[in-house]
Amino acid sequence: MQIKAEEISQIIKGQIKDYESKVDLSETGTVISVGDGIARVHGVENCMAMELLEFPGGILGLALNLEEDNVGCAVLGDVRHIKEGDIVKRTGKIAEVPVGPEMEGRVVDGVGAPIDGQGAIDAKETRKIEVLAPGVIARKSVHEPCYTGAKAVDAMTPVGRGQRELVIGDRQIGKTALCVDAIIAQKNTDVHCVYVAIGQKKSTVALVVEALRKNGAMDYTTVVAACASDPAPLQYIAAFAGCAMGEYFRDNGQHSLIIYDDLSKQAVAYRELSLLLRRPPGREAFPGDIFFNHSRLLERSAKVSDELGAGSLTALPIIETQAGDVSAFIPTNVISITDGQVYLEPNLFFSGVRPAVNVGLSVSRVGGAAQCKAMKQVAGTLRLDLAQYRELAAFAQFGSDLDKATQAQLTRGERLVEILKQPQYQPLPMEKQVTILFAGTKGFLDSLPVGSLAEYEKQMYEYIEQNEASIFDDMREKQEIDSALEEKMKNTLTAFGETFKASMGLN
Amino acid sequence: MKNTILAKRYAKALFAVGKELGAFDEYTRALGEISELYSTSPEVRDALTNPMYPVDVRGKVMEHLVQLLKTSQEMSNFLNLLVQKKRADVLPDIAEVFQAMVDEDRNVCKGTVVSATALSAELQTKVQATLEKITSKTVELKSEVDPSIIGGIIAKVGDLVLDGSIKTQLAGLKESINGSV
Repeated sequence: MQIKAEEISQIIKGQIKDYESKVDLSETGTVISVGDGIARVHGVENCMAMELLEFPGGILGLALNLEEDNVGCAVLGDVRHIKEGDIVKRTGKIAEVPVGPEMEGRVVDGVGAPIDGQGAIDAKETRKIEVLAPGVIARKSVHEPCYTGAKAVDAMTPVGRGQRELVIGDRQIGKTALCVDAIIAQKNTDVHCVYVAIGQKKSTVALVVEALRKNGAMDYTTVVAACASDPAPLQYIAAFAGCAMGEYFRDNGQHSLIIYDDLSKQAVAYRELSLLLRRPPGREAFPGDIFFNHSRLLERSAKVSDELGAGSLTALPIIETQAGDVSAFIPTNVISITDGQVYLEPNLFFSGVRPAVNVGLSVSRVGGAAQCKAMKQVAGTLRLDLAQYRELAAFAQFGSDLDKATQAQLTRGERLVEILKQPQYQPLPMEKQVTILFAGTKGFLDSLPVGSLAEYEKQMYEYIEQNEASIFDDMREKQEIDSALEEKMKNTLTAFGETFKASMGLN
Repeated sequence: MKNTILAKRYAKALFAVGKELGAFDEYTRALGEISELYSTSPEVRDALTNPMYPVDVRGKVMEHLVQLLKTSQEMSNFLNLLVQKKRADVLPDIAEVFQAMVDEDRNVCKGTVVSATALSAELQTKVQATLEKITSKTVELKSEVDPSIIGGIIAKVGDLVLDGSIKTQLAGLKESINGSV
């Protein structure tokens, strides 16, 4: 694109013409001390908690500690340009971020400023980053599913719209992958997504954004990135900022899904901030209100009552554990706040079970209310079958002579574990999940070797789409498996089983 | 700045005494003179605050100073007490806080008006009247001349700043052009 010098002059000329000169009346204070991202300001007597203060050069600060003779202020930007004695202005605004459909497809920082180099965001509305969660009357119980696209999660620890489901596990075992898949799974639905990256490497964030873009998920997703190199206050408020963006949809009768990746880093940022503000440290040096920090954030995810538009904000917070220690301070806190957790385990991950969901330790307190009838029908016995399989598998390692029933259970279990595996970036819609689980639980896979199941799954979807597409359509429509559909599925699966075996040279 | 809490305590006590006796002006003068002395001659400050000298020696220095100041009995008691309690170093802070308390009590606040060229008396009264209207307090205005603001005026009262200078407006214009291009 050619930029003409003349045009630029025109723009500047217009701006000078329109520039309104007015006397600005402001309340000010002076910086007493500054360092480590914290500035102490004398003056600004009428300053409010969480108010934005303006430092010279347009850098903003967040008033966090209001003390008798000074205000403790977290600087949201580069502190190097702030000196002792600088004049600080009150803005009179409580910290807020731009929200709305204009934010979708963009990557912004913790205060909502774009960092993707695609120009200014023309948002019509801004919202306070700290607001009270909807009250008891404003809510409704979670009753509709929010599919994550992962078979292991949707079948056994279902997530409902408005639910908060923790994703917990060690580093590098697919926590982010699971959540990114959940975003991709919202394609062609009415769910808007927010991905909040806290304390991550910029390269990691870039990879996630790229993955989302490649899978066409950026169109309905906002990425809020407060990276490891950003100051602690920005990392702390990024979660709240992202939440405010998600709330916009919730309060407008729409649905949204927010991923906090991850809250342990946010807690660490908040600890840093609190210690620098000289708040007393508690357990693991976290401040006393670290629980409140997470509870008030997650409490804002809700299913809103019909009178208020029946919108919802579903949250998938991520917590990283150290060497599988779920009894550390932050993990226990967040486990107790959320409505269930998906526990990912390194052993499973490295033995090839991906997503590495530990079925025994993962729960969803919302349970069946967040599943459609069809899923309930196939997944009802799945949990039990898997639990029994695990018990038997441990036991069966010692002996070789097993009776028929035991062997049948082992065969079934092995195949169920196998079909719960799923490659990355390939979330499945509900009807496909139900069909493969149906095949697994009804014994259609028992005669096939475990190694061929991935191929079986792939070919089966193609087969049904080409020959019996009505199965998927019916299931989507009715959301349940009635006797007619069951008959049809059984026939189709039997027919496909034959062709598959023949094509693989089995029998 | 670290001594503000201390200074407040002492100033509050002194203020209470002053209010009873109606001797604010007298106290303000005495405190002002000593803090002036502190800044102009560091030796005096040293003699009063350096822990190397025994407390009774420092006390004598203060007694001597008090005599020179020719101040009331209460004020001299206060100054001697400060030295005895080893708090003589807070004195300038106390003077500042005390001044603020007296101003508050009299519903007066101090203000400055900065302009590029000296203001006429008429303009100054006008500024003063405006500031008094905003703060609803009597404003004691001090005027300063600073050619670097180019034109217009900046008026400050307490934390409140009314900035109508050309310099600020130019900076604002610069920012608005930088921000949107």
